Amino acid sequence: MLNIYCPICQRDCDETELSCGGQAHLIRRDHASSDKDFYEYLYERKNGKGIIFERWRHVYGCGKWFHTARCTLTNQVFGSYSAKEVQPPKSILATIRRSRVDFKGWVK
Amino acid sequence: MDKIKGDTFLDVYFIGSIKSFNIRVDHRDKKSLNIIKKNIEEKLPSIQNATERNGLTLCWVSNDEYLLLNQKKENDTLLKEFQRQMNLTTGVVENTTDLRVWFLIKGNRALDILRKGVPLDLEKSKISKSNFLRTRLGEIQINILFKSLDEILVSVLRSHKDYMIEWFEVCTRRGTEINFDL
Amino acid sequence: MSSRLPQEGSRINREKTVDFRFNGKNLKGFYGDTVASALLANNEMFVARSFKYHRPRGLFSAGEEEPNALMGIGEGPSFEPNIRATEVKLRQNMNVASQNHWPSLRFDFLSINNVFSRFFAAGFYYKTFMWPRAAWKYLFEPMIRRASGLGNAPSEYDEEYYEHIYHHTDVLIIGGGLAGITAAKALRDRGLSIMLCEKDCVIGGRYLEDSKIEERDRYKKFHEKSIGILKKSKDISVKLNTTVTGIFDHGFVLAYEENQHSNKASKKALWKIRAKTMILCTGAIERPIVFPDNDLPGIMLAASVRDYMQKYGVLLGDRLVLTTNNDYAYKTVIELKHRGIDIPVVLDARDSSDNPIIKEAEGLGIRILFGKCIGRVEGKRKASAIGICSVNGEGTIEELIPCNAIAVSGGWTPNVNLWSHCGGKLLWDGECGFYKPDPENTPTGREGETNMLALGACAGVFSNYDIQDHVPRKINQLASRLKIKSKRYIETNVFSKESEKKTKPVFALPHGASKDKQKRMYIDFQNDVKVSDLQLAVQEGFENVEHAKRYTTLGMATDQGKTSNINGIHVLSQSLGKPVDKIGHTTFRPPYKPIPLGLIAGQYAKKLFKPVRKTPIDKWNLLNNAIWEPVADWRRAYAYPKGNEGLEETLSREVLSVRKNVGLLDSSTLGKILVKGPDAGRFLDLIYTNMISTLKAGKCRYGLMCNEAGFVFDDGVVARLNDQSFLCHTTSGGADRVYAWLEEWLQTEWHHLKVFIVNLTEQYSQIAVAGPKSRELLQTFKSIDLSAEKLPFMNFIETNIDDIWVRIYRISFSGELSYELAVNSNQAEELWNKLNKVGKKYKLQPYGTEALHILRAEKGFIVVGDETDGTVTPHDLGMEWIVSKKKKDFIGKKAFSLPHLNSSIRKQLVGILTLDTNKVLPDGCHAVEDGKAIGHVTSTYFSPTLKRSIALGLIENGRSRKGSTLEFEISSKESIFAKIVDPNFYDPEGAKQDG
Repeated sequence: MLNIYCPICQRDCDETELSCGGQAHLIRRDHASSDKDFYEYLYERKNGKGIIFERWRHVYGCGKWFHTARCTLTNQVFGSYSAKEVQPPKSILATIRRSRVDFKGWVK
Repeated sequence: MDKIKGDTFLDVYFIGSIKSFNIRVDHRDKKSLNIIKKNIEEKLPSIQNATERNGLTLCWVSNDEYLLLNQKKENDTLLKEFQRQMNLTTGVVENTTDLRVWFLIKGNRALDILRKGVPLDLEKSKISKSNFLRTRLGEIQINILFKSLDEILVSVLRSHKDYMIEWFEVCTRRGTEINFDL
Repeated sequence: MSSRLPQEGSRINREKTVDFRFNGKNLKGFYGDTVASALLANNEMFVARSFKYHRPRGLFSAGEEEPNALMGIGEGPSFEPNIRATEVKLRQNMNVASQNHWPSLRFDFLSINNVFSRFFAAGFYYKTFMWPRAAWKYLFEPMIRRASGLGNAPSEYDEEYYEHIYHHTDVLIIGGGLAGITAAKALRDRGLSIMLCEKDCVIGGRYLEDSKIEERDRYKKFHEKSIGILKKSKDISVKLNTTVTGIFDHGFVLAYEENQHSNKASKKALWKIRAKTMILCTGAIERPIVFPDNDLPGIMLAASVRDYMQKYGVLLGDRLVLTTNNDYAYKTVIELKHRGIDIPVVLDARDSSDNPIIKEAEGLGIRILFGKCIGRVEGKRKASAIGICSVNGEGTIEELIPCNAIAVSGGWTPNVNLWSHCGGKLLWDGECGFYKPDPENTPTGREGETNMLALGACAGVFSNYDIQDHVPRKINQLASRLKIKSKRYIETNVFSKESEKKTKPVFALPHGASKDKQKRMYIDFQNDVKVSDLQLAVQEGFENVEHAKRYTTLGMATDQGKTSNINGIHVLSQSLGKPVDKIGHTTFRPPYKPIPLGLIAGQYAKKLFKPVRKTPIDKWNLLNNAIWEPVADWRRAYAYPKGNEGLEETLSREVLSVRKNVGLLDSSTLGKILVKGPDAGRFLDLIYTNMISTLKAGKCRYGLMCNEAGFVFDDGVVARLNDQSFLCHTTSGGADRVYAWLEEWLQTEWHHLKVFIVNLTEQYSQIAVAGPKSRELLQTFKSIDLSAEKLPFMNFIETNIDDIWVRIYRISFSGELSYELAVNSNQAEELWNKLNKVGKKYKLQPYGTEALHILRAEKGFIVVGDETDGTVTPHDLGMEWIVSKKKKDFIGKKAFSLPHLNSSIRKQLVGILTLDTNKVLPDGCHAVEDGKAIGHVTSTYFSPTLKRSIALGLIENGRSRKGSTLEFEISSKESIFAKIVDPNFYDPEGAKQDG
């Protein structure tokens, strides 16, 4: 049962207060995109073994979305950050590198 | 104010509706922010807190949302004007009085009863008088406004009223207090 | 023969007798007894039959590791099967029944399994029950169903009250033995909140029971002083009778509180604990030596024999032998000898031992034989004699010793389950012969930090002296690692230093046991797994420990192998010729021991199971005989039957009253979302398929919402309140989903848009007044003018009915002249009553959701969730008109251009009229053509208006099939034929709603 920090409420939340929104940093493909890009946007998702970046909504609290970086093997969470970020901020990547020396960085 | 029935280890009262407004405001929009500061409260509540002045309680809900409660009829005119002014800006003030119902929990085991359904850390030393929390109680969403450690106002959606009353009846029965040993 | 001693028993109160029943027999025990101790006190040694072979079994232990004595306790609503007799406290008039036998414990027909055990070796079911196939239904299955399972399922509702309790703590100490108590004392006064959970009804572990006579007073003083410290300390909260049962992510822990003697209303609670650091002090469980015929009643773990004596004053037998490989087990025979019990022999598997305790035993006249073990046990239902053999060799019997009790000890296994639940790894200690927590690979918390420390016997530190020495040191280290107020904790060691010769690990003896003996050497008692079974598994290629476990079912019973895992792993290692640490071990999973299902539900059972949402009209509905329909979490009125009406009559009355007069409907559950801001129109244009920003103030427009894949997921009327405000209605079930959808787009994609939304679903209730007389009815309230000019179709006005503020929308879901009144929820009931009163004149009838659905189906209006299922586009529904061609971008636009959403074989919405007008097509039935299913029925009713059945459906290429007849397959025997038509069956020009 995960315990995740909501950056808006600035407190820890039990997983039961949250709703998971899947992969973070998806790029919305609109009417002008190619069929291939659109298909990728709709259906292709990463299934990471290790560090992933995902979206959460604090549905029973402030109702806001935010992102986390989490290791799917150990459930270590490296931090929560704003949903407005289009890629993981430097501070989060630095936190990850501190404990995972072989972390290759965020891949789009 | 009706008391929840049964042989209970603390008192729970059903209050009903409290006049309330949902406020949405962009903090970067100084104009709308100032309307709140001028009419309601100069010092806006900090995260997870509420301010109270003259029967008006302003509760922090999120970084762009407040819940405003009014318990004095004299404020009605002020609030009407406040609503009119805000709705001319990018902000929103909307009457949400009817959409929730309030309960009052009184007694020195008030925190105990919340511990039976709220997953948060409700340690006495971590709660202060003006804390406002929006969280989950069992299966439903709940607002918690601390008047003191022994007097707590909670609200749920109007449609959950009967469910909440039943929850209180079941969980406050004498004999189900949370106790430690030795 | 087991019996009660005349005195002694720290847990029992000899002044209070308790009556109970065992298998129909009336017996007596004392307050404080467990069912197990009371049974033994009454010489009930044969108390169970094993799962597979139905072998006679007795009590093997005194704790939760008990594999044999599973009982059905209680009667009726309180009946619970599969309860370990060692863990239930005796209560007045308790009913105890053994299980897994027929017709009775003593005369069990199914013990014939034992005779044919050769055919029921491990994995027999993979090789049998295959032929003939027909035998499955009538022979194999009924047979297996009768024989399978242990206990009997309860047949009545569990009346126990269960509750969930949340608790947060800085430190959770799991176990209140010496290590746990010392850890608590060492951690106090450092500004930490500490919770200590102990599964027993007292704390103290084993040190009092283990104390020698000369140590007793000293230890007792220590015990009382420690309890005093824990009591006084404000930091420390102790829970007794609370077993920690699972460790999960981020320090989340589940603990099961079972207070058996309480008169409190809540006896069973599930503690949901969030701990920053956990200290594991779960001790160790004694392990048996596996020898031939080792599962007979009368054979028990050595320390358990002593527990029964010291805690309950119960003696297993008066002529007891011990087979062991360690010094500690000698405490049992010494204590028994002191009470005058005959100890004919101790068989020690070691070559020798010259520790003081051996000398003490010899000094008491106990005969000790080294290098010997048990080669055979005589007795059918009780041990009556043992055959001594050499540890090496195949087990030739050298001497026969009559006895009526056998104590077994192969050493102690650290209780590491909880360490392993959430990522902690184990280290094999070859010298001691057990797995212990690996301090280099601990469970970790949210930040990747170590969040569990194992201390005491569960970490492989057994002697009290050593525990008292190492615990304070480890705690001081922990404190400095956590950077907390660190005053070094020092405790005077009151315990005597014991010299213990390292145990020589032995597992199954004799080492060279013959094949025949191996078939009688039981490793896992509960699942009847023998040494020969493990060897069979290896022989058949199931060498991996996970495979061997599943093939033999070793460790898969309710005791999770507490007394059998290590022995099993070792036998496997021998069979494979591989060292044990290369074998590994199977995974430990929560719960640590069985917990009731009701506990997981907690108080969320019965009435609290689902939060049913009720509208303000709910009370009126209840009083007026409403049939309920669940819509999402709401309960809505499905219909209001009057008198002795059948359902069809009711629906006909309700539908026709709307068509001919006027009807009243509670539509409060509809979602209402306020969208406000300078960019509100722009935003809604992106969300809906049609143009919303062009809507003028005071007007309404029906809108459709699709997801990015182009599929319809919600619909509703949008009203423009003013320049910057829109009120969007959604389906009842979709309100929260649409609100979340809008927030998601505003927060994560289009955060530059100046828009705010407010969920007003419960702020307003909505009442529909529908039918030709609706205008007349509403105009009886003086203040409103609802002429066609004042309020045209798809417009709204705000006004008052008496002094109740209302917003009246002129919209229609029924196809009749109709108005929907939005009112603040607190006044909804009042308005509803007013309308009913005034409506009497117009023969106003309330109608429910089913009549509502019939009315809209007659008009061919879709219902999201019936005509759509997540794979249906607006074009499929014939609603191209609602997809804007002008808008540059909106959700779904790209998808609509994809080839597969424009293909001609897509299912399209059509009307369906059965040839036989009275036959109503079953909902969801399929249209079949050339043996292929080409579509299905999405809504189907008998229409009182048209006096015939109608249906809507999605049929491949449906629109081009209008006029043709299709076959709808109802079953392999019946088909219904129907014509495909336009979906609008009634008033296709819409004259009535425009009036």
